[in-house]
Parts: sequence; C-alpha cells; structure tokens
Amino acid sequence: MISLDGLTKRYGAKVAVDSLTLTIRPGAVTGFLGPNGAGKSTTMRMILGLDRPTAGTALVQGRRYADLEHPLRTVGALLDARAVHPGRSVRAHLWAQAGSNKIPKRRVAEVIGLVGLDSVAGKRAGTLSLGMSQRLGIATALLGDPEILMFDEPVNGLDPDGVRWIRRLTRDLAAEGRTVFVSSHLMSEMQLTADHLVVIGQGRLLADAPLAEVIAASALTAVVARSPHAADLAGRLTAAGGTVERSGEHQVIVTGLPMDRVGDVAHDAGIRLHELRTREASLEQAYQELTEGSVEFGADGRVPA
Amino acid sequence: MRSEWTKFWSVRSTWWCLVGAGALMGMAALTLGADSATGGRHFAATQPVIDAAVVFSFGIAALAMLTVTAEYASGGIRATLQAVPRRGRLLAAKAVVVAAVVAVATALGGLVTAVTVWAFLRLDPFDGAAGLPVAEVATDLLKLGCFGAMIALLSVGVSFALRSSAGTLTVVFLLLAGIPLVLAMTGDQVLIEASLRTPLFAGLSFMGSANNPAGEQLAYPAGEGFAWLAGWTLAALAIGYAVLRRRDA
Repeated sequence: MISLDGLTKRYGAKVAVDSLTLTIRPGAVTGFLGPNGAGKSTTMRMILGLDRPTAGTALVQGRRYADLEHPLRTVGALLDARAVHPGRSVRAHLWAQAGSNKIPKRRVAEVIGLVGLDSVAGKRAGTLSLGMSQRLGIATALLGDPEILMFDEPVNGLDPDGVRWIRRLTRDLAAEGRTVFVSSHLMSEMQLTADHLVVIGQGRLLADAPLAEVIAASALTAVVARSPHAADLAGRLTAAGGTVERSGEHQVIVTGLPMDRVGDVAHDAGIRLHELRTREASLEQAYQELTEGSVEFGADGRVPA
Repeated sequence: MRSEWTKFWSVRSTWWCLVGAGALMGMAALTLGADSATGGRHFAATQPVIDAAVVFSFGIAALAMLTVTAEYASGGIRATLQAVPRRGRLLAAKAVVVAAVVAVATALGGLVTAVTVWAFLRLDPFDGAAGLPVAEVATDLLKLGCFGAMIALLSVGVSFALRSSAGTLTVVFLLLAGIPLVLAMTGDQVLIEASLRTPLFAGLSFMGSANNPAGEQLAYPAGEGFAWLAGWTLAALAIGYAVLRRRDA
C-alpha cells in the first residue's frame, strides 16, 4: 500500500505536485495518468525518497521509504530504464543491487530468466536496445520480490510481444495481492491493464476512482435505445431527467440516466424496446475530458458515482 | 558495501584509472629518482615514489571521482539510492571501498615502483644512489597508502558535492595544484606558507618528500602535514554529505 498525504513539491514558484492525498491499494493495478509535466514522475520519485517533498508525506507500507531496512524487498521500481552505468554488465548491475539488500545471487539468475535476458546477461548495459533495457529495469524492480511495484512508462520501446508480456505481468502481480502502480501515456493499454485510475493534471488530483467509474462519468458514455415509438420514449426520458438525442427514426441516445432507469421508464409507459445498450466512451475520451476540466467533480476530487 | 565493491570492479574505467595512476607513478618516480641521484645524494628507493605524488595523485583523484560522477551521469545513482536510501550509509560504503582499494593499490604500486627505481639507479651513471632499507621503505609505503586513501576521499567528497566529472576534476585540480601555484606565485610569505598547507603539499610534507616543486623538505613537521590533509579530506566529505542529503537525486 502506498499512502500519500498532502504530498507537495515546489520548484521555486512552480508547483509540480500540489498536495496529493490518496491511497494506492494492494491487489489491483492502479494506473497513473496525466499529461506530460503533470507531476507523475516527481510523485514517484518522492515516494522512493529520491526527491524531498516540500510538504506532506509519502509512505510505503506505512513507513517512509528511507526508513526501510532493505527497501528493494518492499518496493520495486522502474523509473528510467536507461539509468544504468553503460559499462557495467547486466548481471553485475543486478548483483550490485542485490548485494546492498541482502538478496541472494541465485535470485539474480532467477529474474534474468524471468524477464528473458539470459542471452545478454554478460553484455554491458550500454549495448542493450531500449526494449532490452526496459526488461533489465523490470528485472531490477522484481529483484527483491517486493510487495509494491511502481512502473513509470513500462511499455516504452517494447515490441507487441513485450507489451503483452508487461500486461500479463502487471495483472499477475496484482492478482498475487501486490500493489501495482503504473504510469502510462497509452490509454488503450491502461484500459486493458488498470483496475483503478489516478489522474493528475498540473500536479493536482483530477480523479481517483475505479476504471469503470471514470469511463461511466464521461459525457460520451450514453445509453442507446431502439424502439418503434422513439418519439414518445424521448419525451418521457427527457421528463425523467435525461438528455436525449434522436439518432434516426427509431433510435434515441440518452445521457444522464443509467441503462436500467431507461428500461424502467420504457416499461412503465408500455413502450416496446427492440434494443437497449450502453455505449461506452473509451478511456482516451474520458481522460481527455478529465484533463480538459470538462467533467464536474465532487469537492474531494473524486468522480461522482 | 558488497554492492559498492561489485560496482567498483565491474566497470572498465576502474582498471584504466589504476593502470593510468600506476603508469604516472612509475614514470614520474623514475624521472625524479634520476634527478635526485644526479644531485649526488643517497636515499631510500621509496623517496622518488613519494615525490611522484605530485603527478599520480591526479590519477587517484580521477578514479575516486568516477565511482561517484559516473553514477550521476548515467542516472545509476537513482538505482543506488533506491537500494540504499540512507545517504550516510551510501557515502560511508563508497568511501570505505574506494579508500581501502586505493590505499592498497598505492602501497603495492609504490613497492613495485620503488624496486624498479632501485634497479634503475643501480645502472652505471647513478652508481646505486637508491637503497632499500626495510624499515624506511615499509613506513614510506604505509604513508603512501594513507596519502592515496585521503586524496581519494577528498575526491569522493567533492564529487558528491558537484556531481559532474568536469566540475569535480576542475575543483580537485585547483585544490591540488592550481591554488597552491597561484598562491606561491604571489611571492608573499604568508600566502606561500598557505600554499604549502593545501592538500597535495600537506601530503608531501606528511610523507617527507625531498624533491618537489616547493623545494626540498617542506618547512613544517610531517604531523602538521597529516593534520592539514586530513582536515581538507574531512571538509570535502562533510560538504559532499550535506549536498547528498539535501539535494534531490
């Protein structure tokens, strides 16, 4: 579990992260979204004790990162895959990381196998391709078999196989009950991987809600109903508080009412329905609305249910 | 500490620096030994090695610097700090590994070089000017190891404070050579005295150098030289630690 409380980072007058308060829970993949410069990486760096918060705290398993005796066994993080001495071999890099946290050498061989780097274990890190570096970064994160995993843009530079591999890995890690916190720009990828979303913009929390809720809150999420009495239905739905749009002679698109409510309204009026379904916005569309500030939020920054 | 040890030996720059420092030591010691010998004096073969500190200390400084600045340049420092978030522990581990290796390497290199100098000065024109008195050689090698370790630590401290190779190299060069040179050039007696208390000359005084840019023996006791060098080293480490603790990685 990662808990942020009023976490703030200021660089001079510029606020990079603006009093973030949220909890990232175990057993789920939490997606971390926001435009470039929104403060995602800074937030992750503060959780890892690399940057010093201007105010507030970031705790992992209830403790400050710097107070952990063997931090790699609690938190595994992939921040920047290229951040490895280019002249050091893959194996030596992992040995060095393992040595400082009393992780046995046999675990190094294990993670090298796990991420599929066996063939390049003796090569110098500077000679790896971006995709290989990314795998090395993930190997480093998995080294201590940690309860918490943080991946900053993990699919960067990976081929489709690698992307699928990361997707399965993050899902598996969460299924094992671990806390998985992943940032990404790729909305389609997030939609497939994440259970829960944290969205920030200009350092402020925009949303902290389950993926399904974020999508449901989008203005583009709507109920589509087809009926031979579409005009009648439209009138009744408007009266029930929905925003109705006619699309074709027999079809209405309703926003502002859940699907079961639309069904009930039709039933009460004795109107036959030939089709009733939800049209879901994509995460991409929902995200766009969020970051453009076009969706209303409760005072606590959560998406209203 | 195990981690620092692995990192230290697993990059090629370590070997290059050790070879480089060794080569500097050898060449400078042979030249200075021949120079001293032409003065018609007799001395222990470790003496020219000590005099050669004027040159090889830069090799040591570069080696020690790279253990820190290379991590900042590559970003590896973030992986390091993730593994060892306590700044004090990280600095201590790095300092111990670097100081220990440099001390041993300097002493060993000193021994090899001293024997080479001794053999070289047995050649005809020098007529065996250098001897190998066991007690004196042993003390000199100890002093060399100690000096090497302190120069290395000075460089580690500056590296943590500045983080970049170019900046560190400049500052270390200024501390070891640039500042004393400028001070000495003023011709002012007080400033000249001050120039002899900078880290390199303090180290030469501590080791009892007899042939160096400042003349023959330095005009103050070896103990004082040790104190100055240790003072510089501690100051550099303290500043390095303060920056490491305060500044974002």
